[in-house]
Amino acid sequence: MTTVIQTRGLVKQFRRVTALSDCDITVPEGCICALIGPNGAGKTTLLRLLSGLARPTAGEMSVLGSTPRQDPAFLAEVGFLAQEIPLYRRFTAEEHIGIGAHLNRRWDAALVRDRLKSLKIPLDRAAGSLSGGQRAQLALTLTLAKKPRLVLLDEPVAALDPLARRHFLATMADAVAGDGLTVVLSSHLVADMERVVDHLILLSASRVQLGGDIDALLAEHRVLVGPRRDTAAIARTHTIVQAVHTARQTTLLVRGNAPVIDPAWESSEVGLEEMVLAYMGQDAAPAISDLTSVGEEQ
Amino acid sequence: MTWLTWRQYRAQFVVGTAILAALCLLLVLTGLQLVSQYHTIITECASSTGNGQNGVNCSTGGGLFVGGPTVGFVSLIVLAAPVLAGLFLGAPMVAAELEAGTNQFAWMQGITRARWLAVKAGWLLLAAAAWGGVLAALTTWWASPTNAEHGSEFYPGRFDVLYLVPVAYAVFAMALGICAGALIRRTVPAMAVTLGGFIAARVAMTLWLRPHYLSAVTVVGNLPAQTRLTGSYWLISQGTRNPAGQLISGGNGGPEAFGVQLSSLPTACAGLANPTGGLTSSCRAALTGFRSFVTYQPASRFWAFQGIETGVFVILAVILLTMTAVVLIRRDA
Repeated sequence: MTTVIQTRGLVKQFRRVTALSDCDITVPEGCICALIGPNGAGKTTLLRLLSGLARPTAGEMSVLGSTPRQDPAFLAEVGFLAQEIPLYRRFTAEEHIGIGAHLNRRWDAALVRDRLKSLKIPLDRAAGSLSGGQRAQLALTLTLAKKPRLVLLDEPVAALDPLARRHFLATMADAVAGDGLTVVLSSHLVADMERVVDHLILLSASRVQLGGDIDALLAEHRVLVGPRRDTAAIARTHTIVQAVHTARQTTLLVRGNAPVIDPAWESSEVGLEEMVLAYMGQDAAPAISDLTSVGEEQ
Repeated sequence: MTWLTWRQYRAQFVVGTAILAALCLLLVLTGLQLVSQYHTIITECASSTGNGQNGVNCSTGGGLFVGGPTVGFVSLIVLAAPVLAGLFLGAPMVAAELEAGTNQFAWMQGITRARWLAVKAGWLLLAAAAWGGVLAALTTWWASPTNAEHGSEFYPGRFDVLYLVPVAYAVFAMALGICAGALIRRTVPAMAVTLGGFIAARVAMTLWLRPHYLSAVTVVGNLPAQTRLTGSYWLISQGTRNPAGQLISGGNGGPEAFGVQLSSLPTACAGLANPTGGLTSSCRAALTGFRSFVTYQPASRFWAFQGIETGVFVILAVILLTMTAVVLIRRDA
């Protein structure tokens, strides 16, 4: 499988704050990749680096075989939708289509019109007067009209209500099917994404905690529940991602496919959200770990 | 990009054109008034050598006055007009996009930021030049009767609204607005900096640099002969020095002769206080070493000064635009 994005030791520093450190990711062609992490984890920074809007402090990136740069050939292949869904407030959808047509060599105006028509979004109203869901749909459709090979979407559904989220993700999934298009979309929640994504990158505290094909990742992890005890024996054969102890019981999320011999542990499969939360909790402030254990006790 | 620029600035273009039309109308109406006043006086004086009806002494030109309150008012408007382009079009050009985040939309289309800047700034600079050019052309026509009357083309305040320089001021203001917007990233503070920067640059150039574009000519005369200049020149300074080389002053209310206070002159010349008292030979001898001087820029340098001032402001604009380009291309969007 061809690799669309590959980064090595990517670092981005803003004055004293490190937004991203030592980031190595690989995204294969044709996948829908969820970039998951809590607020402030560095998701926006990573997407902006990949789009070429920002430059890394250190490290290397290869996006579609080249380094992101201000060059028409690169820009034609990459679509980017920023979190605030920037559109010209006073321009209508039709005028946005006009901008795209004038600024891009490849531009599918018919695609935008058809899609907006089927979504019942008016072409002749100022973008500023559309609803949040309509604006997001318009912006996504404009991003896709460039016919890019890679689309980077920064928290595209964060501001949308559940129904609009579903519509938005359906539009995106629709566009990907059959086009060989690769999508990376960020979110702080995995639940919305679960149905459409097949690849996962987990960012937390400005580092990549986990990355890979979701099915493979789920197969590598499992939940062990047993009486409260020392976990040293398990730690020898598995990586313990998260351990939650209550008065009588210990719950572990472990990585590794080695068999668990001790019959005291009851092994079960892990859900995507559970796995993601465990990794996020790993590096988070103690308060959040406490919350997780409270949840376990209920 | 041209299409986008036009679409984005269509409304401002209409408003700008309307303001320009209003200013032009003001200039034309007051200008015609000035011209007719001027011609009335000239024709009156052509038929009589005495005093004309407007209180003009036709043989000396004394008392000749055309215009009225409109002259000062119109001059002020034309002095201020160039900065408007920078304030309302230049400052928001980059800053408003950064504020709304729309630069992330524009810069992810299939053109580079360098091209985005070049086309957009190019059209806005052209608009600024046209704005300054139309006003300058009309003002130059408008000012011709008063210029003929006073020979004052070269003086600060006049020089600044005529011929070439208003074009350069408008281009500079636009570049300043664009650069301030790109550096500050917020529209309103960028507008404030544009206004402040424009006034500072104009005042500094006019007061401190312009008098020295070419070294001024100084004419020195020995008292009692005084130095007089005729025609349209720019007076930088004048005065009288005593033999010790000290500047001696006048205008303090006491009796004066040769434009200086009598008390600063030798006692042998005390008789000059009496209007009938002639220049005695002892006074004439005592005045040896007293020199009057006039430092000025001759009228023949008017065009050289227009050219230099235009060049300076165009170079400043180029520097500002280069800074903008470097910032936009190198800094994170």
